[in-house]
Amino acid sequence: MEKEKIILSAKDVEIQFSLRGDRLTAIRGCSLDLYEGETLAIVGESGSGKSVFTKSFLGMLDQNGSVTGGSILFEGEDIARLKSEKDWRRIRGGKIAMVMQDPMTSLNPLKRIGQQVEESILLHQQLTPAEARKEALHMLELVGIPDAERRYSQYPHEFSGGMRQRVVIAIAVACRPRILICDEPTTALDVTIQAQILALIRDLQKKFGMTIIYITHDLGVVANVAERVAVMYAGQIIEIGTAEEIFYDPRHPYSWALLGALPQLGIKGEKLPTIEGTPPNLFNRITGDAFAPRNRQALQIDYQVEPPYFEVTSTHKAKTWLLDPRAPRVEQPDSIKRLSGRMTVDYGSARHPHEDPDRETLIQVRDMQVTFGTGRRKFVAVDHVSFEIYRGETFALVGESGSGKTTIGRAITRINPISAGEILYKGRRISGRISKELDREVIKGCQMIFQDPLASLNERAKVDYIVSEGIRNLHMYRDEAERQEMVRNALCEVGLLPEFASRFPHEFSGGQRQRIGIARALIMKPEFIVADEPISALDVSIRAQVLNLLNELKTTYGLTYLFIAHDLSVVRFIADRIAVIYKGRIVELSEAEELFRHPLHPYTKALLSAIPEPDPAVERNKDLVVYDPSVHDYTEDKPVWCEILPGHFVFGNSAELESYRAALRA
Amino acid sequence: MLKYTIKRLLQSLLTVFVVVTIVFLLLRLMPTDYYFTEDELIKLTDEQKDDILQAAGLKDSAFVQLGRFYAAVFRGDLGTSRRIMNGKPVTEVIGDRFGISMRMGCMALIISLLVGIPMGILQARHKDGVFDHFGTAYTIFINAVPRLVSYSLVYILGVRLLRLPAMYSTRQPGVSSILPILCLAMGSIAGYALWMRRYMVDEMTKDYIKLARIKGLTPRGIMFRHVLRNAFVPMAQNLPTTFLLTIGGSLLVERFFSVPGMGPLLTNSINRYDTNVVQILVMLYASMGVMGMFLGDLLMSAFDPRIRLTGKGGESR
Amino acid sequence: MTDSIRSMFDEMPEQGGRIYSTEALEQMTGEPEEKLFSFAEYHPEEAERTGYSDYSYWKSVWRIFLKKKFAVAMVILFLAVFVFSFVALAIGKYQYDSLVPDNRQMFISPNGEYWFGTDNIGRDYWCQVWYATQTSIKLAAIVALGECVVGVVLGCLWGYVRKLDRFFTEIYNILYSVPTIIYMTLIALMIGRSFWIMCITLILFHWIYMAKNVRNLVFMYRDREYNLASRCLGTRLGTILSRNILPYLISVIILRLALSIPSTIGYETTLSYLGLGLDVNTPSLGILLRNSRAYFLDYPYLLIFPAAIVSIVTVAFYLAGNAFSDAADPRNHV
Repeated sequence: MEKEKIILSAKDVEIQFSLRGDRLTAIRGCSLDLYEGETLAIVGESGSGKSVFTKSFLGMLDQNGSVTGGSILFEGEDIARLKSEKDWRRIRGGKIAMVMQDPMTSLNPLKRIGQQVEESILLHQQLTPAEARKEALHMLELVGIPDAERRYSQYPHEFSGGMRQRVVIAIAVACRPRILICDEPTTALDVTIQAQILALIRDLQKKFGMTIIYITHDLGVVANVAERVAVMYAGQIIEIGTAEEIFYDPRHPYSWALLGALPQLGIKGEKLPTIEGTPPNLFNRITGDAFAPRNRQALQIDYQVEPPYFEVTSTHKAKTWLLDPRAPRVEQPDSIKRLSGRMTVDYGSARHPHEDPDRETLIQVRDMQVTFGTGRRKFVAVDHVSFEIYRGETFALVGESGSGKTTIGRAITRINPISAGEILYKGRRISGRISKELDREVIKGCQMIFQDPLASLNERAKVDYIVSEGIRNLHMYRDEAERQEMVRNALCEVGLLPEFASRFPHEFSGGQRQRIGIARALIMKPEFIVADEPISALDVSIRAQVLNLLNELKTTYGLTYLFIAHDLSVVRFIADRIAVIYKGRIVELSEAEELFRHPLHPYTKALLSAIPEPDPAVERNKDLVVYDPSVHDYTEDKPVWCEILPGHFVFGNSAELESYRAALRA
Repeated sequence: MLKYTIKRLLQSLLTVFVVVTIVFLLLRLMPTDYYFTEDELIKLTDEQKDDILQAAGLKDSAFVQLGRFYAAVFRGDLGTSRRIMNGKPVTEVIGDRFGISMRMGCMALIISLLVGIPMGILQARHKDGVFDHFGTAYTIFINAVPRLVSYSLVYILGVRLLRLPAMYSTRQPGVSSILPILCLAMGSIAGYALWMRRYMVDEMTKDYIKLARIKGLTPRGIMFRHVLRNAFVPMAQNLPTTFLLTIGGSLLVERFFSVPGMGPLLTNSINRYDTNVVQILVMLYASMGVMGMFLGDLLMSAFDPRIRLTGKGGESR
Repeated sequence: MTDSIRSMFDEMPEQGGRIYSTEALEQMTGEPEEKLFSFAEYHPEEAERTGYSDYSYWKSVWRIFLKKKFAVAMVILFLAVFVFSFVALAIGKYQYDSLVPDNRQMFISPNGEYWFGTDNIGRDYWCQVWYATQTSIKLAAIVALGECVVGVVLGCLWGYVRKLDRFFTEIYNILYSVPTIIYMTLIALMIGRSFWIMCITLILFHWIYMAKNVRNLVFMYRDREYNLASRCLGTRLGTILSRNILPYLISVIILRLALSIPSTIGYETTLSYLGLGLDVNTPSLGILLRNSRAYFLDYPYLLIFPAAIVSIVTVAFYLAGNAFSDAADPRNHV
């Protein structure tokens, strides 16, 4: 990439927040040159400051924050010095616009969609109201809203999440900004929708020649959209380069760790490389390299002197002492080499408990239906679903939000009652009314891990109480000493220090909280655990820790998991068998690798194609498969649940099954 | 939408029915002696009393009486007053007083809307400014301090400094209504200002306001095009209830200034056990309250497409 | 590999070579180059050390509450008034129990003998006012506590047991849609008037607002993941309510408790004014205000003393309640 015109240049930007009387330095001297017309992705974990940094380009920092140092040059002006809202309005919208994360809240619920788009057109383009309306319709069409004429006068609640995000993008683009900042615009969306929005953003950039800053924590997304990538850690850009350079030849140990921790790059049955510990506390002054305490290959100097940028190529810089000629040579880890194609991925070493002839069915779900609401408001969340889970396997349930996957998990742990069918645990019915003894046994045997580490712990109780809640209920200990011993053991088991028992949940980071949640389930010595999206709310580096822990516990205790996820790439790493669920129906179920090799149902195919791979070469050349439910014609020919190959089930009518068989033969 | 309206209307009717029934039954629990004036109590023998009660149907079981009462109401016969104005139909007894309360209530309402809502808007617009502090002090004073105290203050100031009439009089209804109307409005102004300010401030922290700022919309534009209308939705829900209750007349104000309105009539009729009047008054108050809630929901749905189009509740309440 | 790296030192002369040269680094850190560029020891516990703050919910609440100077001042003033009411009764020249009407002593303005003057039938006003202050505060406190207990218990049921929702909503409508005064009047006439009847009726009609608040919160928290986890672990309903949900309600309960006091005192004065409050032998501030109504144009002190005290009490609680609710909102903990 040749040097183009610099459109925005941030130098040594420092941003501080005052929080509870303390000062937190969120951005510690961050510099960035943005080139006209490029797409730059800023990746980082939560708290790395990626969002704060870009918000300062718009003067949109929260009330308690301010730019306390450095400069941001834009169109010959240092916008870091702008104070009043009036000055900022010259920049906002017309020059720099932004798309925010949550499409559900970023539109005014009481205004028609069209008017909201029109508003920004009238602000930034000199048009008459009639022309503006025409332009608004045009914008809506441009962002892929079908039937724009009719949708123009609808309200946000009549739009799905993906459609709303398209509208928000239309609003931002309608200002004709020079720079568009996309702040995790697809994080709240489903994978298939995410892929479409990414394509849309790429498309619009080409059309309008905007410069795009794309903020995300998802490296797969980065590979898809970015030309250049900046990696942020603890308020600094620690490495920046072209997408190829960052993905295939990263130099900073944090970049290695971040990429290496991706389950997509892991080998089934082996441990994922993890980043231990938690990010630094930005209330404290940091000396040296902020990543040093978590870096197994840190140098002495990392603890004392902050490294400068070292240039790898003219476009690639990294802030690590490892690049200093005086430093010892450190090899890139294997997973990075795997990504750059120097090693081949091997998924063969997985265990296959479900193929064991002596396998034991632990959980059996038969024709289960779950409905919510009554009367005409009735809503079928899970529709006649049947499957079996064998002892010792990890059975994954994959689907988008609202598909009913969580409901199935909750039905098995008896949080949600079922309205038809039955659930068997070791051959005994556990749905509906059951005896007290069986109830006890199920509580002991079947436990659950939850998605949100913030919501799944009682903030007002100590860890000791939280972890021992179950054994208290079932009186599983003789005396207080034994109870404490059990709590200590459970904490150690999940890699936490025993003294954490006397602390409150808010003192822990997300990953630690998730491990407390696992300890709470584990202390019951369960046989079966429903893990409801246990890693989707966690940062990339923490995900690997939790996945490793789950795998370890599985081998140590012979646990069986029902692993619920929306992300097929994670599932591929951890699951033995995968069931794909769409709108309350399981549409395909098979052994994991088989599913990836021979997806049959069109929805599975769409889901597979939408997975963002952390590999720019793959991402840029992929064909997106879009699932259109109307391809199924079930009016005459009723669909059935059919075992099309041994262990490979698919939902379809006779014509479809025939075509699937043909595809398999080919 | 129509279904939703009908459903809500039926629910409201049910509530009125339950309230009236409860009050009706409570009234039947009271000793029947109160049916007579003191004179009658002394003069009449027990047998005569029994006969009169029998004739009036008061000896029947409470449920029979209840049935009869509803049958009469459905015929449009609301009964006659017995103690307050002997033999006069209840409708007439209430009618005049309702008019007076209504007139004063409407005046107070108009004033409080005209003052309270702009006050709330200004407070929110210049949050933490001088005017906001002043307004907040006012709302705190009105809401915290018992009405009796604030009315007394208005009374002293009005009578001493402005030489306004201290009591309502039918001869000069205009001038003598000033103080009671002022007192009625004073409370509602504080209420409207407080809620308007709170809803607007709430609305200003929403994400879509951030997006509007990012678009480059001016604070004025944000205020008038987004915040104001959205803040009006929860306001709309409360407005009719306060309307009707203001119109229904404040018991305290009317008593304080001797206004011959609905308020004193209610306490009077209860004090003197004029059960027919009490029942109808309760029915009236309950209907107004319930209608208020009903209209509030309708009004809100008119402002909020989410409710209008899906029949589901919008924001929390 | 190292050859290909061109250090950026040359490009940034002002901080480049000089600062990061071996000599400079050695001087800066006091360590030799070989040591600086050797691997450091890795301490796993250093990495695991919680980077998380010492944030504590209640500490923050308290800190922000104390920042509301005016509210704090009012609360202190209220406490002073409350304590002084005991002192005042003790040092007063007349005892409330032994007051007798005396026509010759009517409407005496405050002086050395009668500190707050005398009322329309010639009784010492000082001891009446302070006695009434205690009565009113006692009434308000009992009602607030009663509302709180009944409201929280029933509110929890309302929020947790879905089948009861309709039932409670109907009760809410019934109590909300008719002015409470109507019910209170009926009850006053049917049962009579006394301190305790007043307490009970006020609780009876006002618990619903507390319950409604509690219900909304319980409804919000009942399906949070940590409660689902408790259900998975077989925790009983009572324990879930008391250990998992109640701690989250405390701030709302305190708010309602604080706001219930001005509203109860307000109701008491209104009812007393209408002749439906306490009986005349237990003077409350409401009764004093009612008595002063006919005379205060000529004898303003009859109004001023009880009005000032009632205002201090109600404003103090109103402000404290609102300040607390601000402080209890985690969004303000910045």
